[in-house]
Amino acid sequence: MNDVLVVDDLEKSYGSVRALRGVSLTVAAGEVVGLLGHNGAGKTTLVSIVAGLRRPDSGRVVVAGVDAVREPVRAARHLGLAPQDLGVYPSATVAENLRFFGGLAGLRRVVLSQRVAEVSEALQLGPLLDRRARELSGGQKRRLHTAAALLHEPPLLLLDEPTVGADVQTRTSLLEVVKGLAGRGAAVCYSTHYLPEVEALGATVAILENGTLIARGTQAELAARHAQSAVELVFDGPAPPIPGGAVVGDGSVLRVLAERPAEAAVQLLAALDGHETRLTSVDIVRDGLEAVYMALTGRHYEQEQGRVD
Amino acid sequence: MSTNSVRVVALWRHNLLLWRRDIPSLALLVVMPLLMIAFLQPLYRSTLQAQGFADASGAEQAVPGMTVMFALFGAGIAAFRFFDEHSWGTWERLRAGGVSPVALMAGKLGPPLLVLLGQVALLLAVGVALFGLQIHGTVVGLVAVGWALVVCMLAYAVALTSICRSASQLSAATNVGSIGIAGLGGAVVPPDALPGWAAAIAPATPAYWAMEGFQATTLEAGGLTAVLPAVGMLLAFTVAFTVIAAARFRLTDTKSMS
Repeated sequence: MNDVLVVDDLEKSYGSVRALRGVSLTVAAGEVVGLLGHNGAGKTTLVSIVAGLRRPDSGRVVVAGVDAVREPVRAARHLGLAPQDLGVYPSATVAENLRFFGGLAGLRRVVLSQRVAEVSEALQLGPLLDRRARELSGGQKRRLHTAAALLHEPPLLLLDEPTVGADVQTRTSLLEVVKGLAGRGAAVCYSTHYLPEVEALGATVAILENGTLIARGTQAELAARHAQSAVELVFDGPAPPIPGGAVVGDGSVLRVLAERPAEAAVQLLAALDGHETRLTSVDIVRDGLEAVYMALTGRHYEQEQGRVD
Repeated sequence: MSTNSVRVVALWRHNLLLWRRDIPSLALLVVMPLLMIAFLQPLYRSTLQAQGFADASGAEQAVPGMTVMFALFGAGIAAFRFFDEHSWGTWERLRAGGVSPVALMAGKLGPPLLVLLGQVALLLAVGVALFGLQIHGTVVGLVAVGWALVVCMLAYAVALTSICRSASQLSAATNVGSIGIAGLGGAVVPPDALPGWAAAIAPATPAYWAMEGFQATTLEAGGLTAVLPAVGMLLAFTVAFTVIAAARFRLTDTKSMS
């Protein structure tokens, strides 16, 4: 396989906090990898190091054959980065923003104009080209922000939570664009808090937990290895002890692993023995990525926003 | 054209656009000093005439004085351009854009160089056309002092950026620094009318040397050699500010907008 990104034994600490602990990862041309992990897991640190924004304490990063630690500027020319926080020029129009970022990526004249037209059409920015960025909605700004990373068709695309705060239209068009880019051979690192997006992209998965890469593979591989369906009963207060169940979270959730979770839910409800009055919800966890994540970390992959890890 | 040049040109074009869109700052740099010149000229006329410059119009102090003071404000605004990038979230994008640090700084500093040159040239030209500023000495000398002042202010801008961690620090440094340096340097009150303590430390400011250089060709009929000490000292200040900037400026620094 043609690996566009090679990360080898990457270490990074902030003071006494170890943000990355020997992370190794490869991403091949045409592959989309969903980078998963809770806030503080190290996703943004990893993306920042690959993009040359931070230096690792040790380890190796190679982008399209260029050592990104030794030659960050040259390596950066082979990647497109859409950071987690929006980065657009509010007083410039959409077209001016795109033309600038395209120019910064080394595009000129006809090629630049063509790419601005193509990318703005793909992300439905065409009608907004003459509008100043400060006048855009949050979703429109997010599309512009992401579009700026795509203009030069980089071999490696780093999208750090690209759909945070985005509307449905933005999310849909972005996923289509990412699929298209991967189809044309780009390697994509897609950090997200939304598992359905990773599933929709058909992405392979890399899960970070406390700076360690705890799982890597296709969704099917990880599901076969780790996932089990489960029923979760959430109570108002401490969960009652029920044979075969495990109390998790803050103590109010009773989780029971089950091959047929719907049938198990019925049986569990019948066995509550007076505790049903404190029952606030019944959740069925299918054997998808959510179940994989829960099996590996003991936590739901909940959507969290507003923190940078 | 090399890809590095394409990137620098893109930065220049874009940053010039951002300056053009910032009308309030441009007004501060040009309209404010012209108003101040109009208000202060009569006062300076009588002061200069009392000092023995019988045919002085007052523009000889007002125009260079306000040019120097508002060039200092211009340096502050140039420093704010770096803070803007942090506030807009674009600084990291620039750094990850495959641009070398030298090209990035060249791209960021080119436009303010043009803006400050334009500001100084415009104020001097309007001073001649509207306020009766007379150039008794060499025009080349005047231009040399203007260039040296602008280059010095650009280095001052980067030094300010490197030292200040927050926008409020920069705002305070710009306002206090501009008025303080201009005042001490004789840009607000003619150097000969400065209080003794201020006159003693005036040469330690770039404003003093800029005023010396400008007035050597306006109040007096100085030739090129007459402005050389002023140009030399302004370039020395440029080196000092550059040393501070080189020691303190880090592309990886974050800047707070509060």
